[in-house]
Amino acid sequence: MSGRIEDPELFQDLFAPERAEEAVAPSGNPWKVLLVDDEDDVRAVFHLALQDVLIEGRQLLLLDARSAGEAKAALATSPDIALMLLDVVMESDQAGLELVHQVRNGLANRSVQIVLITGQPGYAPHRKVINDYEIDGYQLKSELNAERIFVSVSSALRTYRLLREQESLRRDLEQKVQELDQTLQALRESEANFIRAQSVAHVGSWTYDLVTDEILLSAETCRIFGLREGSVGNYKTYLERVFPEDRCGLQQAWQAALDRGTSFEHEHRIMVGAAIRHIRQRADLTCDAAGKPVRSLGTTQDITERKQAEDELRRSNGELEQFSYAISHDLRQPLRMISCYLQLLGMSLTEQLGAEQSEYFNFAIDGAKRLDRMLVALLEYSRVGRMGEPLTWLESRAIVDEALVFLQPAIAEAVAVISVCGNWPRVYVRPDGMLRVLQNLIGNATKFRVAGRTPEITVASTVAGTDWCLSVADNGIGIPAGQLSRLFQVFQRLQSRAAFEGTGVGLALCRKIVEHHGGRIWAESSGEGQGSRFCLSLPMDGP
Amino acid sequence: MNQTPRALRILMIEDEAGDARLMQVAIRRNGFVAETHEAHDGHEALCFLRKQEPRWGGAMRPDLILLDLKMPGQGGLEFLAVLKADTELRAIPVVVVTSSLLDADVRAAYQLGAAGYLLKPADLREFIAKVRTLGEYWFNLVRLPHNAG
Repeated sequence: MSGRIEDPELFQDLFAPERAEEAVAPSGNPWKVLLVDDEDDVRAVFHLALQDVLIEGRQLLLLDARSAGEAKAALATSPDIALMLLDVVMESDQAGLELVHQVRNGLANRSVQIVLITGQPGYAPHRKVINDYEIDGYQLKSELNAERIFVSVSSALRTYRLLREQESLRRDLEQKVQELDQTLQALRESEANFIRAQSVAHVGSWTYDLVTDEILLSAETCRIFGLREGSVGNYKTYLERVFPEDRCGLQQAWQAALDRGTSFEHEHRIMVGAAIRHIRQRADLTCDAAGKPVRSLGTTQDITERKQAEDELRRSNGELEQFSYAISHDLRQPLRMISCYLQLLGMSLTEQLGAEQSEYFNFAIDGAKRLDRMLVALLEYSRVGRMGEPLTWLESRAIVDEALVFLQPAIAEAVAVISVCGNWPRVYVRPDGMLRVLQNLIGNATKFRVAGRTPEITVASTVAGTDWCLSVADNGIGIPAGQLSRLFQVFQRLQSRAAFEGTGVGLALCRKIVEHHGGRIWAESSGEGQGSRFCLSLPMDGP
Repeated sequence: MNQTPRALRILMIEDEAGDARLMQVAIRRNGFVAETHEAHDGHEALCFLRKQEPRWGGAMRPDLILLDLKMPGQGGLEFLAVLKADTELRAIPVVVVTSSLLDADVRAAYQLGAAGYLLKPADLREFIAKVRTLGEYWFNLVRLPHNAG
């Protein structure tokens, strides 16, 4: 190989001082150097020594000041002066030194490099000025030569550059610190909001380190558990607070979540002093590289109020169920005894009974049978909305067609003319409920007819925005003004039973069903004998 | 082969004497020939079926059970569950005869293996008509398992 270390030429090249000043073209802004001397000759020497010099690839821009006053003005207008070569004795014996003081303190310029150039060391003894003033170099005029000037200037400019870089770093750092402060402040505010939100929503949070078995609780979680803020727990202390009957279920659910390594959701009771609270726990698990859960972040929601409301609802539903059963069975059984045995008695006495006595029997039997029908209707009414019939998408026209099939015998008997018209949308409804509504409305229109007048019934449908509007209009007996509001109440009858049979529950049932669909129902009539019109409107896509 | 059909043996489980009597009346009025035995709750009915008391030692095994749902002591649905779990007895068809309109009862009865669910009407004529339909089916139409005794 040719490049051996012993090769003297190569060795020399490797360790030769960098002569970049000669090799590299000038780049960047020139260094500004201020020459401060009242003697033109001295400044001329510096001009001569420093002309065409490049330091770190940059030229020098030499500025002249003949007095401390001029220098101060130059520094005030050009704060980017990098170096000041300063004579000491000018306007006064101490003019140079006073200028240093003004620059450092008055102008607060600590970066400009100051090299004292003095002809009379007595006025500015070397050691004393270096100590007392912030100056960076000291040259005696008697010792000046081109080489010294170059060395002195280049080292001062390098120092200046380093200082500026340091300054710029410091400013960057300050800015970063400030940004960090702002971030921290925002974080603190966000945390405060988070804590407030937790307390408003009754949702707390926690983290569980599965490796150290340590649970950290948020303030709201502490409140839910009745613990001091900042409390720390572990698996065992947590379990001790769980209602004993719920511990097993919780442990199983937690173990299942650990096995899956995914998420955890469980509701259970906890003991807070003498009280019992219901909570819902939800958590995510973080696993290590081997898939083993190591950390869990979760929320704790206080659902006590909801649970109490649910219990209350269950209790009240249970009562209603009892009530339904009483109507369905317990009340109807004795009634059946009355009606059936009256009928049997009537049959066996048939020959001994006079016309009037037969009538008494019939009144009693009819009454009992009607009461039975009313009980059944009441049962049906009480069960609207509790039977849980699901909502389904249906062609609304199909509901009408089905109702008409059911009503065929009554329609035939009344010789009613029925027309169905309009725009029939698809609707999201409970099929049985809506069928019952249409059966009732069309059945009523058939039933409440004027004797001798052919019943004409129009069933019309329209779409208004997102609502389905349906009307059943007839030319029947109509409704007297002032009676419209009573129509939809349970057991309200506007007509005598002698004229029109019925339980008085039909329209109340219709209203309840329509309202359970998020809709409303109403009646219109111009008065007695003027026909009537029943309308309903409900949201097409469900309540 | 021209055998006169024997009387259909019916076990009627009903706590209300009035209801039991009505059923007897309806059967008679429809001209069906039946041999009925009455039990007042599920427990009594099971004792009868299992011949657990001396007085029922020679009792016939019924062809059909008519079952009320709401009774003191063991109710109809509980009885049905026990009966249908009994390999000896579960072939006997059970028709529920009740006033309960509740869908939950209807569903439960069929789930437990009831062969039918009949609502007792408040009108006597209607009641008699229903029993006629019921009888025509069980007395005349379907073939029941042969019960030797």
